[in-house]
Amino acid sequence: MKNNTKKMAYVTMFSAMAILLNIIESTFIPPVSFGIRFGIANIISLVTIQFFGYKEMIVVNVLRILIGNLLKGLIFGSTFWISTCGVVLSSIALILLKKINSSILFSSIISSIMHSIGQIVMVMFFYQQFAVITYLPILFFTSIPTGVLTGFIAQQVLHRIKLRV
Amino acid sequence: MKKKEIVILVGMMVLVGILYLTSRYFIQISNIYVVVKHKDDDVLTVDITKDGEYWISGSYGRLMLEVKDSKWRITNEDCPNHICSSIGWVNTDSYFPIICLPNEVSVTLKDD
Repeated sequence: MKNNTKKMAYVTMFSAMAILLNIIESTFIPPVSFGIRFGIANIISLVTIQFFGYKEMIVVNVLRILIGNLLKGLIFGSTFWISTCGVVLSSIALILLKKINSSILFSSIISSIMHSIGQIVMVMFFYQQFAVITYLPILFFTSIPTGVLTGFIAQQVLHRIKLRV
Repeated sequence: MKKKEIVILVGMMVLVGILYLTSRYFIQISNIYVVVKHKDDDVLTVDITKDGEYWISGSYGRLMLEVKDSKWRITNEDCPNHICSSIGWVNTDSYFPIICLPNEVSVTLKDD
């Protein structure tokens, strides 16, 4: 029972941090150029899946999407569905990569690539603009450094959490 | 990061790079049209893969749209300042809408 409560508290804290990072990123960190973002909220997903497992990561991601967009006032808008598709694909990639025990950096890179693929697919169907697929190679090559960045931060965070718990 | 993962990543990068370069090389320019408008009315729609010279009558005088090698420009115009011809050749990579105010003519890409 005590263990369960502790876990719930951790999941709640991770969700709160993910929501906060999501809002901070979309409000205070402007896109670099071409609409490229760092995706720092993905750090929390990486930490959660390594720390607990995929069920908790799904909970954190669902809460992050729903509450984060609710607080930003964009819920069920076009950007909401676009980011949802990206997050769903990147979560699936993370779960599959966790099953085969790959490293954090690699899963971070793959999940950021899948995130951009999901967003592009959703934009294609949402706006009926099939030409945006030509934008995919640019996003592919820029999501590798951003994936390395988030993966490195997640690695450091995990190292510090495991020292304390 | 494991060695196998670095190999996978580099392989993916090479594959995407090759696909991107080949797709840029092989995809032909097709179904790109230039629309000439005079006072909100579509006067002329031109396929940019076909070379040609088209005369358009504007509000001030006549002007000619020249299409050549997937590029287009305005020449032989009757207008006081010749701003539209000073823009020069325009193509889809360096796209710029050509507008002639005295003639009330605009040359833009058809968006679909």
